[in-house]
Amino acid sequence: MNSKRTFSLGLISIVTAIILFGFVFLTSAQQGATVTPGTPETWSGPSPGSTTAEGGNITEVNMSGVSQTIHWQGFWGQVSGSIALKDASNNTMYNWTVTTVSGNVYTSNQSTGISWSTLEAGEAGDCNNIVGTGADSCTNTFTAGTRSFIVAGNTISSVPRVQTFNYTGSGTFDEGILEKSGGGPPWVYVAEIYNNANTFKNGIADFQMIVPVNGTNTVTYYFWLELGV
Amino acid sequence: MKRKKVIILALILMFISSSQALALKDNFDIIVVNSEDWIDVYSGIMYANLVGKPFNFITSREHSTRLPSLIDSKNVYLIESEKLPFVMGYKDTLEGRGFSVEEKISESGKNLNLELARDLDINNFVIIDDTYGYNAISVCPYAVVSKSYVLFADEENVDDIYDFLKNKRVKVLIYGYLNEEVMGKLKELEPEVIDYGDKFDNNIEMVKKYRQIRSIDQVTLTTGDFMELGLMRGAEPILFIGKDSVPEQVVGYVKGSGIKVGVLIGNELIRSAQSLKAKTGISVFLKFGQGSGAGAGSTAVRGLDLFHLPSYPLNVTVGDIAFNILTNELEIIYKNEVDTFSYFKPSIKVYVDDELVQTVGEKEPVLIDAKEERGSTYPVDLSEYDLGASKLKADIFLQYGESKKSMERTLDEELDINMVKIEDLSDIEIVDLGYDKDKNLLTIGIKNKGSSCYAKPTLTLTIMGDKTTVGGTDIYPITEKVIKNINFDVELSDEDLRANENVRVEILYGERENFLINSIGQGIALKVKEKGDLSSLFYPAIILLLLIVIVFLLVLVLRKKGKGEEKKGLGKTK
Repeated sequence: MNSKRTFSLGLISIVTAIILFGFVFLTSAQQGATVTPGTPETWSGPSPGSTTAEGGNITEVNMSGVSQTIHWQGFWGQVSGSIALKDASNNTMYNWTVTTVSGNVYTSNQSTGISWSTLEAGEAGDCNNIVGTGADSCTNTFTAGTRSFIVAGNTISSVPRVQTFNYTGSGTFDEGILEKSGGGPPWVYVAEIYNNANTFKNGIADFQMIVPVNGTNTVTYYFWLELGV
Repeated sequence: MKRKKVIILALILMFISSSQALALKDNFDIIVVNSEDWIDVYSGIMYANLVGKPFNFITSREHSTRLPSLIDSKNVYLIESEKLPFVMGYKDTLEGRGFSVEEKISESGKNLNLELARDLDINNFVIIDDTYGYNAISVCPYAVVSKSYVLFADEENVDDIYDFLKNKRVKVLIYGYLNEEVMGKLKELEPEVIDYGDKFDNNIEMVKKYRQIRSIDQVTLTTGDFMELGLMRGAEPILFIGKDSVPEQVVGYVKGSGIKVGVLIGNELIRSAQSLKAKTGISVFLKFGQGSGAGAGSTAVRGLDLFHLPSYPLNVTVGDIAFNILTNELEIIYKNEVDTFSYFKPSIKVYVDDELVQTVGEKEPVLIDAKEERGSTYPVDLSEYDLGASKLKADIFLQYGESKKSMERTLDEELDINMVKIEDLSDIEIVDLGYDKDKNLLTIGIKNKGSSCYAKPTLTLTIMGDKTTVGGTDIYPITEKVIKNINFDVELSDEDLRANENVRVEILYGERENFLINSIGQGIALKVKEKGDLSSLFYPAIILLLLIVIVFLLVLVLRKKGKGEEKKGLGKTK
């Protein structure tokens, strides 16, 4: 009697398990799942997105020759006067006076949660984990000594610096690397604002800066500027 | 032994299958929403935040082409609107780019909102109305840190929401205005309620609640009119500033709060943010753009990807402005160009030949109804000036907003002042106020003692214990020397009638429809016509009776005449 009862319990458990399994598959089918259990998948990865990027002349700063790097993405723009920013409505115009903005443009691939009042000086090798340790490493890029930047009213000293070039090859645009209090990401790249300076493309911009990318995937960087008094 | 093996096997199978069931929710790396219905997008975002997954959402057709390159996760849970996707067949698009996609079709935002709630194992909920988006933006960060899901409730779905929540041990926060029926139903859940009747006051309360959970000296500044990727992650509380100016209660809160940094999202809000910075001393960082790339190139910075939300429409403008030589008053017409009411407060500088003479305006905010044109007058002393030879100009600064405390919009313009000679001779008197219980009709009788004019009556009644305003929107023409009866459909119980034995009536009136510059206000006794009361039929009945008698007499007379002529005729023939 005991063994019959045990056997019945076991049978009930097996049936329950089968029903549960069936429920899982049915639910997946209702939600339009495309994964068939047991079918191996391979993922080729996302195709690089199309951007308005142009073949740039971002050069490696520590070599005598000039060659293209895939590990650094350049950005430039205006932050005063009539500014056109391309968005979903095509171009939206803003008109900011020079006194509206002051100091610096900041960029990071973290879209939120940067604690601006507690940023510290980064280290020259901070982004080596993104760009690698080759000739165009982070360490080999931020080689123009250090300088101070004022951020949220705080003076941050000894910030590793890189200077990107204008059209004549002269180091014009100062940029530094900051990190959160205590070290580590998110890293924030800070570029001084130069009113209508000549860019590497022989154009005019208020800022020009480079940011690290891994050369394979598209990365989005976000931009901030600090309002003046 | 065999039995034991069966049991062990069964237990193993049960464990595996239950693991499969639990893993369903975790079978994706990112949630992507393809919908123009903002509630679909918002619900998908809040769900992702609560299950700890990243998210993204399409903001335009153009953005949909860029989005795949911005996703670095393999398995996508795609929420797509059945009727309002930005682009069709996005699942196919993503799969073509190498993603593995599980798709959920949304029939409607509010349906999806509740469906996702059912999928979550949580007991904290925030309930809001879905008319305008700013409430949803305001509660988002608090919902993330308090692990609450946001539900949208209205008369259509409140029963479903109630049924869903009633059997759970839930903690509910109701934020902002919900209509009476919805509030009545949800009261049983003993919710906490935040509703000060003002968008900014409510929002400040939300920031305080966030900071009780996570102490932080940085806030995001915006208006609540759009969703942006970083904005929706809940990393810091969202503090509302006005579009053109910052309400005083926001300035006051920031000053005493210990907040050091504001991150502004909304490039058009710079002026407002600058004002806040100047008044409080906080640092303000504007998140103004973004750029994407994979290296080996350079690109210009572009604007942020924003999903715009329904917002309270505000647009008050100034029409004509004139100086009335006969009354020595500046007359100005304000126009509300949209279908919602607004409050406004003007300050007007009057210049004669570029010399500032006087500043006039309103000391308190004034209500202007949807699509209303209203005129106001302000006495201005120009007696020293030869108005025939002078040029008059007005420098107008107009603040307006959704409520008296939310005057976030401004209008700043200069207009030439015309000269007019108009004397308003209108004069009215309130002669009667009655209520017909049969027809549920409130009637006010207004006698015009002067020239033809226009009148806008407003009555203050007590209905079910609450002060209620009746009228105050329509303007009625009244010809000279007549009594005009104006009717209002109002249902008053016997208790209401007892509470309204004397009713306060205020009437704005004037000769010009958009210049109701005169006013009359008084308490007046309410006369009640009971149901089945025939007394009002007395005079009509008398008249009818008289008519019947006259007709009867006429018939008699005519018959007599007819008989008399007949007799005469018979006599002749003989």
